[in-house]
Amino acid sequence: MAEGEDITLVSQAQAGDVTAFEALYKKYSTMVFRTAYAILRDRYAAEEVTQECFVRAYRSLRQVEQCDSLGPWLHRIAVNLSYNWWRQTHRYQILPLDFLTWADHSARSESPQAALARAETGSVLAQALESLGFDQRAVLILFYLGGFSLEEIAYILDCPVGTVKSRLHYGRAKLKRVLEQWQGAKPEVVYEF
Amino acid sequence: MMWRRASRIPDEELDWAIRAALRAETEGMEPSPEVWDRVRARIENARPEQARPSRAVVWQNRLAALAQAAVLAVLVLGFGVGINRIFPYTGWTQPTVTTRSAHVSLRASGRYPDDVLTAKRVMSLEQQKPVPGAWRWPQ
Repeated sequence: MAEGEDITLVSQAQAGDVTAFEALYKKYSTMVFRTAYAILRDRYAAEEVTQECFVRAYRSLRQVEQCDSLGPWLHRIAVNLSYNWWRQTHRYQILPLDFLTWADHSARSESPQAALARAETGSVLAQALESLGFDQRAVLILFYLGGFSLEEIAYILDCPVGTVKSRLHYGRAKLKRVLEQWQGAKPEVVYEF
Repeated sequence: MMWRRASRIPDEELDWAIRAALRAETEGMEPSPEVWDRVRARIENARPEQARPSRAVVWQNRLAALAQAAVLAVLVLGFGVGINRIFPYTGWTQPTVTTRSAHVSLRASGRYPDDVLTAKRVMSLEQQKPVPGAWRWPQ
């Protein structure tokens, strides 16, 4: 869907056209839902966040002036709602990745050993993501899953770009450390001449 | 020649692993159709709420009510001041130390009522000899 269609849909939705808003929902709901799920690791919570996000977006649709920022704007609402949910529940369920799904997905193009290793790596990474704080986790998810730029993430999280870079750096470093420990990586000694 | 520790996981591989893990974790996940039904229901129920006055209008109404209350308070105060000027109340300006002045005048004259114990009367009571069978001071 082109951006011009977004502009048309937004203007129609601003005029009260629910069908136009439904088209916007269909375009962005999956992305918002997946981001919320990656942050909260709870399908029910992610659906609640998605629902509330679009209700609030509809009520505040008149504030939208530039349609190219519709995705970051929706994610900003969703991340804030996710943070509220996470803070209220204050419990973080550790849900391991679906091992069979990984295996089935990987078995199409990889050997069983490679699929197994990849699934285990994913599981370890998922648990390492759990151990991160909300801010670092949100930055990593928005960067790697949402594909947003650093400026967009700064807008979504309402913080400076430098803070986003810092969180991304330390989050990646922690994931790397966990992954190396899991692989049993011992410090290797190499020669440099 | 120098010694250094080799990094086992290159940055590119780490990026790829994180991205693959997150995508695989959420792959195929979509909100259930009931979510849109709930969103639509809430939107349509909220439509009458859109007819509510905006925040600016709400503040305007609050300020108008505040101004009305201030004008009313000034009117009441002015009415009270006017009444006071027409019918001045002098009760507050009269001295209210009547009891004290009477007491001071009694003591100055040395005349006390019979039920008032002075030091002189207490001493005279102590000098009285007790009548047999009458009440005695506790020893």
